[in-house]
Amino acid sequence: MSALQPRAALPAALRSRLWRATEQAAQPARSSGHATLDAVLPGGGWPLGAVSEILHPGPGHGELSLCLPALAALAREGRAIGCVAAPARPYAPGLVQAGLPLSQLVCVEAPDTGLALWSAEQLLRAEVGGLLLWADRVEAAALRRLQLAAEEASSLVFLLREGQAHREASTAALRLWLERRAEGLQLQVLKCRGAVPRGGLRLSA
Amino acid sequence: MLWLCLWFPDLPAEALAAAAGTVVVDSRGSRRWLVAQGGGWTAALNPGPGVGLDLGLARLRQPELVLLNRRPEAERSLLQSLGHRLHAYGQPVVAELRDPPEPGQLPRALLWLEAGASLRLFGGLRALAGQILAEYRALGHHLRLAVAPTRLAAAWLVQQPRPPAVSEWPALDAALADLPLACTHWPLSLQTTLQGLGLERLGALWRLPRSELVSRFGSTLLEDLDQARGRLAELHPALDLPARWQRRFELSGEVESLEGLLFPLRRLCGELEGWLRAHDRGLLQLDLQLLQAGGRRQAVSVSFVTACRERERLFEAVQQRLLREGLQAPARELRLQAGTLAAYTPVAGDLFARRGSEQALEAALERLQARLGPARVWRPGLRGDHRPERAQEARPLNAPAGPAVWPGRAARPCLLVDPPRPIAPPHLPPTAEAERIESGWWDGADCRRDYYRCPLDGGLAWVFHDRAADRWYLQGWWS
Repeated sequence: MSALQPRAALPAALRSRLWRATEQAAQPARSSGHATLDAVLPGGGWPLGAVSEILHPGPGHGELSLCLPALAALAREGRAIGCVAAPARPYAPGLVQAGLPLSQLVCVEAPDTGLALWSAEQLLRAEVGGLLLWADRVEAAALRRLQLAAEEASSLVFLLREGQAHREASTAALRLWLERRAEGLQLQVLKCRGAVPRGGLRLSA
Repeated sequence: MLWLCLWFPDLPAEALAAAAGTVVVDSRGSRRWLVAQGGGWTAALNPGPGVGLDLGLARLRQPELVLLNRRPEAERSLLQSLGHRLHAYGQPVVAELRDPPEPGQLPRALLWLEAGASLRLFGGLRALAGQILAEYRALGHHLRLAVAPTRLAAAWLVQQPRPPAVSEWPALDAALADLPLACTHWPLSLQTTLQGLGLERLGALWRLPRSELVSRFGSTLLEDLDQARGRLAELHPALDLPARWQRRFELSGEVESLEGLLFPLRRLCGELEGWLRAHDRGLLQLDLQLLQAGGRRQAVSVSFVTACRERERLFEAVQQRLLREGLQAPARELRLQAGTLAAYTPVAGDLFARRGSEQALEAALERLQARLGPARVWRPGLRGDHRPERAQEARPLNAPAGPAVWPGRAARPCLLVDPPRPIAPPHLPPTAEAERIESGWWDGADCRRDYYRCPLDGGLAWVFHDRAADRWYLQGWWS
């Protein structure tokens, strides 16, 4: 087989309609606020209208600092942000310091995962701009429902999962593994729709 | 004056929320007769206009009839409640429940609205009448509507199968002259006597010498005729709009399942909507009491994110709440009460599409509150206090927004463990800097703490050393 032709050498009719597996497919996204992360994500940011799974060992691994810049930007545009089933109380002074206007935030405490997913779905149906959902064990069917609701609302949806969930298959558009190491936040893209995962990177946060 | 008269022929059944197939029976002495049928147009059963079928005859035709006794007080309160809705269209509103003058006759539930002043606002008589009819029909009521310059004439005309709209004085006499006697509210015996004399229509009556008429049938007959024709002043006892709204609904038996409550609840919510509309207000809180077997009560209180008026939204919130809490015991009576009122902003049209999505969000938040409980859906708010647990509060969603800026300079985490969790003394990194917080000696919640950032279970935690008790606690996560 011949070597890969540069795109410019292709016939014009073909050029825009061709996608190569080594390239990133275009998809709606919003800047994550972290330049190094935007560079590896397809579309240059968090996918809109899709579930982004952030897997982490437990609280305190920088999982919120990863999502908050994008959510704060949405909230400043006047969109509502939902925060469902957080493992501890979302703390107003810290959130304000992260740039999130509190008037746009709604916190929901759910006694079990089923109700947490139900609440998240209700909020997505009402087209909140962004959603943070903590749920460790999510069945595949429930995850797909969430994914569908996210698609209809074209919102930013973050599913924060602790522990060993990365071994399970998932329909999420994006899966990241996040861990706090001594030298900083270590992040690994496990799966991303529209491109081949490119391995790990380090965030300065 | 121009009176719009609404007649609710099925009100006796509607007031009891009678199911299809049941009949409502009135009684006087040993005489019992049908006044309404659940879930259907009653007139089909009646042997003649204004006359109910005798129960004995009805049993011959349908041996397995389910009977409910008529409850005039329930009809009266429903009629008044329906009348509140009319206040949105004009004033005065008059409500009258006429009990049967003689055994065998039907009660009449009538509402009047003086519409002369409202015609221009609502785009003419036809548009106004259409809007009113549509509104009551959407609530599930059967009704008929007539228009006349006098209240009594409108009440008589509405008994006609296709009542003419008489909006001009000159046309009134002609319209009344053709009416059969059965349209009036006179006792059946009087009607038969008059018919026996060959007086079949109202017009024949006023052609008789007035003095003869009075000496034979008393003065009331002539007074009624004069009032209907506008020759004698009428009284208009106006139905006033109460400042507080409270309704009770007695169930026809003990209801064990939630489904049995939903129908009357939806109806009560519709009545509440009418009252709110007449006041041009919205509701922030709604209280429901279920009176149960054994004198027990179950109270349910529903709060709304923004002022609410629509029947469906009121109903859905109560329904969700009941589904969550369940029925503790069979219910006998419902009591619904309007709580806090607030100014109401109606739904804007598509000019502001944004408002629509805000409404969807409000509805979703109400569903969440109803299912999870109001305390579980909240918004973090700032408070001016150095103690970390007191620097924030959970604000209800309909509370006004608090301060937007936190005055402190030190960095704060986004997740707070509240109350703090006791931990073993951690290994602090050598570079850890303490933030000392000493406050609260004046209000009994004294705190003398040194805060550190410290790795805990792999994550970065916000821990403190309680210097008074020499203990360590986990206060938050740097997530």
